[in-house]
Amino acid sequence: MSALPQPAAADRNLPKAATHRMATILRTGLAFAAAIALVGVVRVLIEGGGLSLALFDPVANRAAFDLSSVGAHLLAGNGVGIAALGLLVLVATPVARVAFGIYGFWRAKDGTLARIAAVVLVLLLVGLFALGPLLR
Amino acid sequence: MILGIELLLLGLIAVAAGLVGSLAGIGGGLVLIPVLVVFVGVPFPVAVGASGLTIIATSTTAGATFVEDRLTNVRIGMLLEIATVPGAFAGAALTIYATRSGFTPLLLVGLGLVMLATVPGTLLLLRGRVRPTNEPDALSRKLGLGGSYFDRHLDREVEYTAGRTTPAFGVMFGAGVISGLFGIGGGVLKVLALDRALGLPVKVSTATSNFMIGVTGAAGVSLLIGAGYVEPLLTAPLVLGTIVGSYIGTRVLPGLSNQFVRLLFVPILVLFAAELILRGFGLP
Repeated sequence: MSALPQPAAADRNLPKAATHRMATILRTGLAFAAAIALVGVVRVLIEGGGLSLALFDPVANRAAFDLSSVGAHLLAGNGVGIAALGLLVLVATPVARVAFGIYGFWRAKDGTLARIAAVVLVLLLVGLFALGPLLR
Repeated sequence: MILGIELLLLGLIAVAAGLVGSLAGIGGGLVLIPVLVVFVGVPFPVAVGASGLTIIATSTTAGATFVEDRLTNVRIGMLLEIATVPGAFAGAALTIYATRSGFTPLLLVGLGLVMLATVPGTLLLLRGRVRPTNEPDALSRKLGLGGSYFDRHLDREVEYTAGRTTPAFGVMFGAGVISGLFGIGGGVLKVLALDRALGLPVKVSTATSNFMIGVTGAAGVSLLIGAGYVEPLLTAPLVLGTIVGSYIGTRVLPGLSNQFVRLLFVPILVLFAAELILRGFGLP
């Protein structure tokens, strides 16, 4: 058996307070996403106007997830727009935990891992804001 | 009224998928996509986007608990996400490209084959446990990859170090591609990398794989959202149903053995896979 690397294994995770907060971020994000999506679905059912919606319409889908039109949908109380917002919160939840990871590692004086988490965050944001629209 | 019934049915399908996924510990997405594509008639990338979002939801539920229980190795998970995220981009882009170029049958066959491969893959992970290597390589030593967790079964703290990081990065990139391509978690491949290449304890591998599935899923889904393949009205009830299903699976029915559920799950998986492959080849 070769020598184990330093430091002691037990010290190599994020501090307990940080993992606790990370878990809270995940749970809160999911709860918000589910609640918003549920409101959206119920709203669509109440509106009944959903019958005129095309279920698989890429053009309408793009509009539903366009950040500017999500705001307009919300102001109009549109159910599909609210459901889309719930799904966006769901996608943002793991992204938020990566962002928190940067802070958590930085606080734990783990600069290398903070930088690695920053790279993951940049990759995710590039995907969401640059690669996605590129494929329209 | 019709829409209401449709939404309810979608929700119920997802409850079933979430239930099976959480009980079997694998493959919730593997059940959902064939049902959506074959029985509901959803276009392939729309099913991939919907499934990807349900996977983010289920991995977040379990992931929060694993992180809090400190079973997840957050450092190793984040490090390997550098490989899974670009993999998921490549996979999702490939799904979009293949659909637009009329290669949907190839995607059907591919998913069918992945489903078939999941069966021996899972058995391989469950049985025939060769002693994995945990001899740390240069990167593992440099970053001090490893950790410890409290094993309730053994009633003691278990320490571990991570072994070969290079093959782990390679397998994780592949897991990302599969995840982006088909909107599935790719958990079997992820556990394979963590368990076999890094030599992490199985509980740490499972928890860390789960942790990574959310970010990998978000990467693939974000491309599909941009390209207009995520249908909010279809996906929202699926996400809600999956959350309910996996809640029932983890809280209400913990007594069922995983082995028993997997035994039930395997024939369903094989049937769906056969259906997808036949469809891919244009056979009834």
